[in-house]
Amino acid sequence: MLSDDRDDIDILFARMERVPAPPGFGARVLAAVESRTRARRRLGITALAASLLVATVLSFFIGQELQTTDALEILAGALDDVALLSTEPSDVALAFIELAPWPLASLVGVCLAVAAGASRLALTSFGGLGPHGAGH
Amino acid sequence: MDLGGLPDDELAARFRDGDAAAFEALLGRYSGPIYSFALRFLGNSADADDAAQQTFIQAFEFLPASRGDGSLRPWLFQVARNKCIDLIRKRRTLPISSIERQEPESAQIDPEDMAPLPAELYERAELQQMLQDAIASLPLRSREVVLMRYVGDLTFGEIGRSLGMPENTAKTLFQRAKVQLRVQLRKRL
Repeated sequence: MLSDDRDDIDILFARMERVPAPPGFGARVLAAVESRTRARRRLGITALAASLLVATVLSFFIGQELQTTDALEILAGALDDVALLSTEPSDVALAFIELAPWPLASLVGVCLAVAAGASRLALTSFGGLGPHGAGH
Repeated sequence: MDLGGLPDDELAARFRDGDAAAFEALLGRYSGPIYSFALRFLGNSADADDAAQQTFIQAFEFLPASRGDGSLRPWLFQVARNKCIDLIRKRRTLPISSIERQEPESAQIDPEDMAPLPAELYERAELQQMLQDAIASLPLRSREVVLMRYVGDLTFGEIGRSLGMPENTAKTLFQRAKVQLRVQLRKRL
């Protein structure tokens, strides 16, 4: 890509050897890429499983909490008596909001967000290489 | 299918679509130039191997989402340059002052420095070592520009984009570096 108006320095450096990559360089790169891909996939799967497990456990505690605080009854009542929900929606909502276990619900939200990220990591970490190229 | 003849963008697009052979074709195409660049930059084959390998690993991980605008070649050299600097900083193969030394605002160019080099220089058996030493004597910024130009065959526009500077700045740095190279090579005669 050097232009035609080359000077002696250009000509001299054009004689500079282009050193080839060492033997096995490409294979080592592919092996390193494969290794990292596998590690990322393992990490993704582990994080996905752990976050879903924690979310499940937290959901169980949320259910217990809803039951002990009567929030579940409010929900059931609202579903049974749709007229109440339509006439006093704000009262029903406020009552539920007051009784809902928000810290636990927030943690479940965090777990689900982590699970989404982890599943992406587990699925996309194969990138373009996949088993064919990485297998060299 | 032989992918060797396809342009970079086509290979990058195929890689993004999941074609593993496209990455291998890119690796085959650029492993030599990138290794050569790293070797000239670092002056050490083990470090060059490491930097070149890290460059392609980064290409594998970030190419799918970030390339496709016809600038793969300068991007690869930019990554290689960053990996080389990381290695230099990590291994302290150069003193920090040398790494961070800035170009003088206005380098004085002696008219004598612009005179052609004697023809005998071309005949020196140790030409390669001389060139390597001359490159190594350059400040870091100049070395980057010279290597991207001479080893990477990048245009000044591409060098500017790779190093985050205007094209004209890259040209100026290159011209100053050539003066310095000329002085260094003359000293070795």
